[in-house]
Amino acid sequence: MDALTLIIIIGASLIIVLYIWYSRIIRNKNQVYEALAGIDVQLKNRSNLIPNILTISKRFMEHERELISSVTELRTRSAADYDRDDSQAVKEHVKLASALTTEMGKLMISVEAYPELKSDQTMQQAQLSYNEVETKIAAARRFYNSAVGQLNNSIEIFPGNIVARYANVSIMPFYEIDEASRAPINASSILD
Amino acid sequence: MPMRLFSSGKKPGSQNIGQIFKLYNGNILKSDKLLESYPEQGDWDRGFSDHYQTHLKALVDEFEKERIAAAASARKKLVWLTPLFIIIPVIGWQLVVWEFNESEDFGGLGLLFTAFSYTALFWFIKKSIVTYQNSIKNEIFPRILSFVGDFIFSAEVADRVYRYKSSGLLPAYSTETSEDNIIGGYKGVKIELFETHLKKWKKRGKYSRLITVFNGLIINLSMNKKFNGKTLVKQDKGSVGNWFSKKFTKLENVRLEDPRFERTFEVFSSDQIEARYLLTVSFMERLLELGEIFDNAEIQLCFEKNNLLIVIPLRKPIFEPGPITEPEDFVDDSQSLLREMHLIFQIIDTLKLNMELNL
Repeated sequence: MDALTLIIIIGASLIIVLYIWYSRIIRNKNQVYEALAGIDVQLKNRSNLIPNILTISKRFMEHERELISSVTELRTRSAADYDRDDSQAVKEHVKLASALTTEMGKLMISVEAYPELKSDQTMQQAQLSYNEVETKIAAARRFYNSAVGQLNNSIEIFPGNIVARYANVSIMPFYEIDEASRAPINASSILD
Repeated sequence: MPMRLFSSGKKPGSQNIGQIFKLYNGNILKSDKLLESYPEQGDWDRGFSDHYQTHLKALVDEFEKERIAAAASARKKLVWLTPLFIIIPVIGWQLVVWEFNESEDFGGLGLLFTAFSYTALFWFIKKSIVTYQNSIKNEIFPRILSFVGDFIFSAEVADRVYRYKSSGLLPAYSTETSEDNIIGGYKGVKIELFETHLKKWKKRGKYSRLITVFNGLIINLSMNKKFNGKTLVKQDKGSVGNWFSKKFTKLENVRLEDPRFERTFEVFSSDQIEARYLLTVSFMERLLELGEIFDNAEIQLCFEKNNLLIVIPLRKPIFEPGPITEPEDFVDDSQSLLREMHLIFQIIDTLKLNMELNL
């Protein structure tokens, strides 16, 4: 085997490896987009549900105005369009979605302090639907994080970092739960 | 502490060859050691002694007479046909020798003759026992089951597996023998289950043989969650086996977070999000716990059309009456049936299928 043949074989092998890696990155990127779209469908469902909950809550929850306006604001901001190719924009989007989950969680806990609201049939139905949507968001988040994990691994491991640069694919952010959700809940105000 | 399958050690009902030879003992035709009342053993049969007195005790004499008649008939056949147990292998051996000398290739005619003759012999001896046991299943089992709820029990089931063929959990088969169909509900969850034995013709040399491809329990349960797609939870077959599974399915492989679950199961679904909606982190934990309850049997699941199909391979049949060699007071039958139903209920309790919680 002469040197030229060897160079051709090595070159061809290198091209094949790089192509396989490239196709893997693109496949993983597309799966992240698919997962992100899945999250957005569920976030849209939640977004549609929130006005009903707020309308009912406003009638009873006089002392929670600040919380209600915070939810309203976060809902509007998280419903805004964003660039899915921009990892920073995606990060901001999932951060807002997570913050809205936290604020809605607080609102749902506050409902416990208003027996009249808690026993309201429409509110009970809305809470059930909300819980269902939150479960689906959690499932969509798990799929997204799994897809992001695969994408980031394929980008960070050599030669993925080089291939990704040429393919214009960057590391995507994980959908992490809001810091406030991790904090221990003080239920004394409800239990007292 | 959850009960485990066959945890009692003795499994009543399986009329194996050992049980048949117990028929030589004439004492089996005596009606002693009959219990006057039902001895409760645990949470799973608490309160059953009253039910026993009301619904079963009055039938003990009648069925004990039937048992003695069936055992006597089987014993008489066994005694008369005993010489055949020696003659059959002798003829079989002669056939093997003859075939080996006459024919160029060894076809196993002698072995086939021996196997077929023994099967026919045992079938003839067991005939009266099987009739008696079916009468227990048809008349006594529904009375026992009425203690745990509104259940319908049918000892004989025809062509039931085809309904679940599309699940992708059952192997291809040529013949189906299904029995013990139980339909009812527990804590609002609809239950349908039956035992099935699937065999497939496989060619071995010159002859084709029926080989068991599945023997176990098929359980269909209704679910509180609504879903449109299909999700399969199959046993992990190692990297090569899983690679083949992925190649031969239209469903997508789902990678889940729990490493212990991932080591045990391989998940495929038509919808990645729906798979995670069904298989929550705590549900995965419960599924691993369920495997332990069933003696680490290779449990597989299919979520489809708002139902959960569970396929559990079993080493021994369940839902079987007590042995013919023991006096009939329905205590063994009740204990084994109640214990087995408790296991089915444990599936619902363990997986929390009755709850609206999305956890």
